[in-house]
Amino acid sequence: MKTKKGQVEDMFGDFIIAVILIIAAIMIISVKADSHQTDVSEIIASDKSSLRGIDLLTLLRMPVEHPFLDKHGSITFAEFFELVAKNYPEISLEAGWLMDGNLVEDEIGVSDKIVCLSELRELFSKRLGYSRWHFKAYDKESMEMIFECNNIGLLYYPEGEVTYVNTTIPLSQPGKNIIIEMEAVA
Amino acid sequence: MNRKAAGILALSAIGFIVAVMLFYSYADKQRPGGETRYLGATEVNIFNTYIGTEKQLLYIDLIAEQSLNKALEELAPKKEELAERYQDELLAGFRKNFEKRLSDFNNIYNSNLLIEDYELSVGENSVKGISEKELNITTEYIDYRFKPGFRIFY
Repeated sequence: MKTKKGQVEDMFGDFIIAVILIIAAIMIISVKADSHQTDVSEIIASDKSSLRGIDLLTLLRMPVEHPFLDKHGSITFAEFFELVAKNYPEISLEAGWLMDGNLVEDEIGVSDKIVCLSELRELFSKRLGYSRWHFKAYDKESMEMIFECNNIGLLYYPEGEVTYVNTTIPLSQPGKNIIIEMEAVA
Repeated sequence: MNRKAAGILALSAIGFIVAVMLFYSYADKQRPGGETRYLGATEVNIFNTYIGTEKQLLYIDLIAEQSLNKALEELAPKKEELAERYQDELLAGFRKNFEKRLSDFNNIYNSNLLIEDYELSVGENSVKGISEKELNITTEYIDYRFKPGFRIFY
């Protein structure tokens, strides 16, 4: 079918308008869809991180598998933290044996805390499977930090990616409790 | 294209763009449970409640273990005959030590768990505590009830 010159111009104009409208629609859809997805996933990520609390509780129930500790009878991570607390602010006669196994040492002249050594860091890393983690133990009453242990680099992560979870565990002396706090980056 | 057709096409195009914009403006707010909820929020809340109960159960297990260790320490000279002859003494020692520590649990978790709520027994190298009382954590979505029983081996 033959077309007149005016009809060809009309079709070309319609085609241009259609292309512009399609591009505009695609831009609107993609911009709005992206912003929607980002909002939701960020909220879920921050709330979901609280679920890592179960990792902390599981860890505290697990045995610290180390030949030195096995000699003293297998102990769990919760019992390990209890021994750490017994050695604060001074090394306890009852729990001082913990210093002999290359897991922790007395930070003489720096602070009253005992510090963790590389072998202990490896034990934590093996159990947790996080790329970065940081444990802190506080006296529940005074909120004084009595112990900390970490593998390096946590501070360089954006705030939203770090999980903070904690729980309270009792010490053998009634009335005394410590708070174990875990910061982790999956 | 005649003038009438151009008008209809223009109106249709504008209507389409307005519809797309309105849809995506309101789509953000159309989340399960209303504007403040998002997909998975309720499930996360329920899991967090469960984690809260696990924290309490860990605390109970640890104080039971400490109470047993203390009771065994107090019975130290008689320990070898423990299984046969000194179960009553062990249980009495456990009860005394566990009661002291239960008050810490009640303070921390705002609970009212008493030693009388437990039926304690000595089994094969273990002390068992069965609680008839239920503890609960209530949130907007779930009333989670659990019995804080334990079994500790020596």
